[in-house]
Amino acid sequence: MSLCEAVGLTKRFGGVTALDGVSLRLEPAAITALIGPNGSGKTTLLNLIGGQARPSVGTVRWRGEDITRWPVHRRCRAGITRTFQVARPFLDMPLLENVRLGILFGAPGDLAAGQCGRARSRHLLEELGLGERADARAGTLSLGDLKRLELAMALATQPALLLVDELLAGQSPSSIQGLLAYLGSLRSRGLAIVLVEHRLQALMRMVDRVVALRQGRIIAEGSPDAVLRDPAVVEAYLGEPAS
Amino acid sequence: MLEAAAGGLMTGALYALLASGFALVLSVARTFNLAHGELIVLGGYVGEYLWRTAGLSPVLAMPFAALPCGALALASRPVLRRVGEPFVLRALVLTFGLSLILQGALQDAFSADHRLIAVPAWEAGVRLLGVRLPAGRLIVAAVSTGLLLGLYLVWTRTFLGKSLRAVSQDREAACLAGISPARVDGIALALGGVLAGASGPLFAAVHTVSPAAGLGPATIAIVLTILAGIGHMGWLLIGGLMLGLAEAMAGWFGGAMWRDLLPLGLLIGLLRWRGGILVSGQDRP
Amino acid sequence: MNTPHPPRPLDAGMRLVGPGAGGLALVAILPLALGLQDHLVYLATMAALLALLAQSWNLPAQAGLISFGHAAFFGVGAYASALLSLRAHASPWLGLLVAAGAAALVGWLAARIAGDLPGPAFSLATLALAEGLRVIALHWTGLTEGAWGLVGIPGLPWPALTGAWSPRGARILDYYAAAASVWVLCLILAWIRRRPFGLALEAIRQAEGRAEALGVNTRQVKRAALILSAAFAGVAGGLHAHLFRWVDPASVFGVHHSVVPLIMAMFGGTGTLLGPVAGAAALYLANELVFHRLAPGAHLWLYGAAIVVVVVALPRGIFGYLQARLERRHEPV
Repeated sequence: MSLCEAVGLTKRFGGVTALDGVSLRLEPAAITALIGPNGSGKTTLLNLIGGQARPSVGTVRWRGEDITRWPVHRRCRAGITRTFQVARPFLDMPLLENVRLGILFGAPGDLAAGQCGRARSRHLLEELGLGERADARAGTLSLGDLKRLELAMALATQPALLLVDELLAGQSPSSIQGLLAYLGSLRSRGLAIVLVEHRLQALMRMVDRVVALRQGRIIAEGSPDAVLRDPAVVEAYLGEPAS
Repeated sequence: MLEAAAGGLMTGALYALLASGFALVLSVARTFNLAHGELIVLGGYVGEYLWRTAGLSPVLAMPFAALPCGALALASRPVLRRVGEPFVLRALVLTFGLSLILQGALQDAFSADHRLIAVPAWEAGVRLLGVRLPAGRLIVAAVSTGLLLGLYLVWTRTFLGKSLRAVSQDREAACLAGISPARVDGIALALGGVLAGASGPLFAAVHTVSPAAGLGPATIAIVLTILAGIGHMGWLLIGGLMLGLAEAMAGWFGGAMWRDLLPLGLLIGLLRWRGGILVSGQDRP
Repeated sequence: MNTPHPPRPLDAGMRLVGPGAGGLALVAILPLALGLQDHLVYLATMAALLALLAQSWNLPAQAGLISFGHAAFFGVGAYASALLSLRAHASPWLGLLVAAGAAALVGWLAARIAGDLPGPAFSLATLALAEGLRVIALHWTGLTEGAWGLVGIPGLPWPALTGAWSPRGARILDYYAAAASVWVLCLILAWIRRRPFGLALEAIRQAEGRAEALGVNTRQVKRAALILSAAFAGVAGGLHAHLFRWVDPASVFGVHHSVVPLIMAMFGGTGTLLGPVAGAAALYLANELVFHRLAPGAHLWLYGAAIVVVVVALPRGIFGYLQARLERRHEPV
């Protein structure tokens, strides 16, 4: 029984088929990269697993249970958390409160009675290099730091599956190294991670498996080396068949 | 019952007219004018005043009623321009507050009693297709339809209409095409006020007006606008006829309470079905 | 190493007991401070009633639910309490309790039919709900006497006060009933602000989808806010019934009682704890003491100006603006 299983997911709206019969298995302690040109359905797939959208056809299973109809907050409490492509923290609140929300609501059972979650928030922010600005309003952060905050918020909910949508955009090269190393440490703690990214080169060494999408379908799946050399993938990205 | 149904259809044409100004302002200037109903009531009071003092027929009073309402609508423009994001909700709150002022002003100026323009000649019955209808209803329906037709022609055939449509569909593109969205906004607001004011005397001829009577036409305007879709002026008349008919039937079978509850229930239902249209301006959730 | 979070000024970072007791003392002394003059006590009572309504409106507003139909809850409370005392001859105290319950039920209904709608749509749906209830009250004459309204509603029953003080005493006690209700609501709201529920409300207001993705059951939170808000608005309605001794559809279900709490709360500051109370008191007193002398309808100009100022210049209201300025000074770099 896989941790998370997508079976035959299809999503149609407004005459467009964003996803067509996608099936996927996700296991703990593994980083899976989801790649594909714009419009290939990557974010849609995250939406279907995260609960922001319902599939037209297909099911999503979590530890064997059918969660296709589950609302977003229930999935979060069960252990599925995601970040968003356009970082959406609560801009008017301090970073601390942004993260604390996830602790209070996403992982409520983990707080001992009498604890308010502030210490744990601070700890998480420190792990992501934002500790000094814990009391600053989220609206004052740069784009790169907003992405880190997004990650901290997601981690606050103690996920078993983390769906990360475009984390590396706007980050400096050294920052990227740090973040990838951090994701690696999360993996060794048992987290299953799905990364949607455009900047492939930086990822490839960290990643266990790559899934390539095109026009809503999976065109290749396997180890990074194998997938990146797959002619279908090369064609999708470069627009011409590999010689 | 046939009389009731026919009467409902007649009223429906008026409903479409009542909604037209509101729909115009929402489509073009993205402004949700919750004070629209009060503008109609003001037009009704002007019409009633002219009828009482000068014996002027409601139809002839229309231009006189249209003027102050158009002016008032235009006067709201400087305030509306300063409203920040999220615009739709803030403009809604603002016009909600303004509707209260207008109500109060109406109460001070005209007192709280209910008034009606009762034209004796309009009581006369006319036989049409075997159904007896009050002449007044026919006149109101005819004038409403005529005005709506005129509006539709302006909307689709004139340069003004094109500008309005352009701004309604895509403000930036219109700007690039040399149309000033701000100016067009002003025109739309004024036009919306004029339509509201002009429909006032007609409204006052079939329905009593009082300072608090604005909410009824406002509800109808919102319902028809959502029903027709933003920017689709043509559908207003069809929607209006359907609404008028449905109201008449509700009143015939259920009584006055159900007749009055129908537009409200419809509004809630429409908001649940298509409520996103208010925020995005399009049929996307 | 871990620096404590700096206390936020003007906010409930303080312990509740101190300010709570202070507020109660203020409430208690006010009539004495006003020299027990009848007219002034009356003003205070009315201000408290409006403050109660405005403060109740404030709760869902903190989650971004801008209600245009609070008259629905107010009116249901007024009619429930009135009917109970008139038809069932029950004590108005029981009436107030039932008013809260009936209004809470309507609050649940509002959440059910409109809770999931986006901002402007929610507002319009609440408007339709209030108007619908007005229409029902108007036509269901068997229950409500329709447009004639219910008259002869008993006042709040105070233990018999002897001597010349009796009617005045009752009015002073009426004031205490209204003011105490406001005080209780403020305490509850202050308590909520410090709980996860309060954080959830604010998060929903700022980015509902994000909050939901972090585990907040947004539907439930919004529903709870509406029910609690409606209950207190219902109490306000019940008090109104027993203070004015009559209700009719146009007055208690009318748009007036929907617009006014909105304006007062927004003027004072929806994001703050005491903003709505201050806004209600300020606007009501400004009206009674100044504008009303000018013209009977002049208060509408006042309210209209207030809403224009808020929407255009001071979206957070007066208290909110002050609070933001104080926070900016304390903000760590």
